[in-house]
Amino acid sequence: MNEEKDIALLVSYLEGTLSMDDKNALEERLLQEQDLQLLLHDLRLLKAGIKQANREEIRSELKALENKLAGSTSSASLLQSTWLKIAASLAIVAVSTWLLWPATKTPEQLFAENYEPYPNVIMPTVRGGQAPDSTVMAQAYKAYDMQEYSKAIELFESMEEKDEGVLLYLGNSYLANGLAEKAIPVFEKVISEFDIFDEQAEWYLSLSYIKIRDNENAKSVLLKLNAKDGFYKSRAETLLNHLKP
Amino acid sequence: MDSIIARLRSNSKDALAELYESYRTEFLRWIMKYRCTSEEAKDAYQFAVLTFYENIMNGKLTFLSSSEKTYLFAIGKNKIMEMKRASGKLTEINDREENLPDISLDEDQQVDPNQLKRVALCLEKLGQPCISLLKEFYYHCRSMEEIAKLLEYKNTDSAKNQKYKCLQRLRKLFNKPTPFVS
Repeated sequence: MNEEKDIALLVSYLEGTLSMDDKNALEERLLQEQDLQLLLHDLRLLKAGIKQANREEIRSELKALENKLAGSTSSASLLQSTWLKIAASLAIVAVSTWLLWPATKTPEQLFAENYEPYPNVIMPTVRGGQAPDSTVMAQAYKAYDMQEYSKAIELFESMEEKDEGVLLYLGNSYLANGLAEKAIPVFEKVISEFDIFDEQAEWYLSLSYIKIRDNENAKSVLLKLNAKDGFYKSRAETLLNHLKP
Repeated sequence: MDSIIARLRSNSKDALAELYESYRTEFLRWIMKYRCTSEEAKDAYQFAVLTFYENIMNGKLTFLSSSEKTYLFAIGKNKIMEMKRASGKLTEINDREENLPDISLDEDQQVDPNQLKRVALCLEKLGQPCISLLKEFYYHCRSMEEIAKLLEYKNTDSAKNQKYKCLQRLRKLFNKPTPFVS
């Protein structure tokens, strides 16, 4: 795809690793192509954001470490507030018991509470401004955005090359229309044949299993998700608590 | 024992914690002579460790011309001076640690912090393997060869392709017009 090639070029440009010729050619294009300028602008921003996010992570690790170390050296002064501590720990016990005590829920309730179609991040429908994109792919994502899932299924299915993005949204469209059995092999394919959307696909695969009341398979997928330190970890944990016999 | 540089670069979380603990007590006691509060002292020490860490990871510091303690204390002291100047408690500028090695945090000051926060949220949403890949490339400034080995890709090219895909998706998430749902 063209955009991916441009991203590759611009990343090397920002890293200063382009040859002189390539650099000149790119700068020439940058003068003329507004889309390319926007892409460069965004890549700079993403780079800064990625660095910042990781810096904050280290910062909070150091803070947590400091709190731990400070806690172990000043415990004497805390003794004064023994009563406060007891009260606080009772509150924690009460709250966590409440949180960990799953109410019995039917698979239908669990599914309804947890299922939300994955947001369209591939081809967001931009409001106004742009000419309508008439490609099948654009139409499919638009239908998905408009929650016209039957139409989205038809369009996604008609695409010859189905990458992990198309498959993830096809699976979601099936699931949104209540066709969990059809969604399962699609999500499995996203997991086994591609890299990028593994966690998302696992999450929706587990929900598909819950939908068809196959708790055993749902649990084994959720355990995998819970073992990863990702976005769905805590959600997987909550669901697992509900699925315990 | 491996040098602190080698241990940090091998992504050892223990190495960072050990480094932090090694000089913490001594620093917090020593810095008090500059009349700061204990909160300021802790902030300065954390800043020093972070700066030291980043400069090792991004390759600006490839060998130590003095002990790591010297670096940490010098950066920490300068941070305290900076805080005092900012709060107007110090007027003379000449109390800067002069034999400080030339390392500092490179901060992107032109970027809107809210935008950066949004990128961080989108990154979290993007999930693995993108988070690790982009972190090693942009934060730890590793080469794609190193990253391919570290994250067990088939070869450098497949790691590169994955990186471009991740960036493309991150950008789409970022530019998504609807309100961000967490």
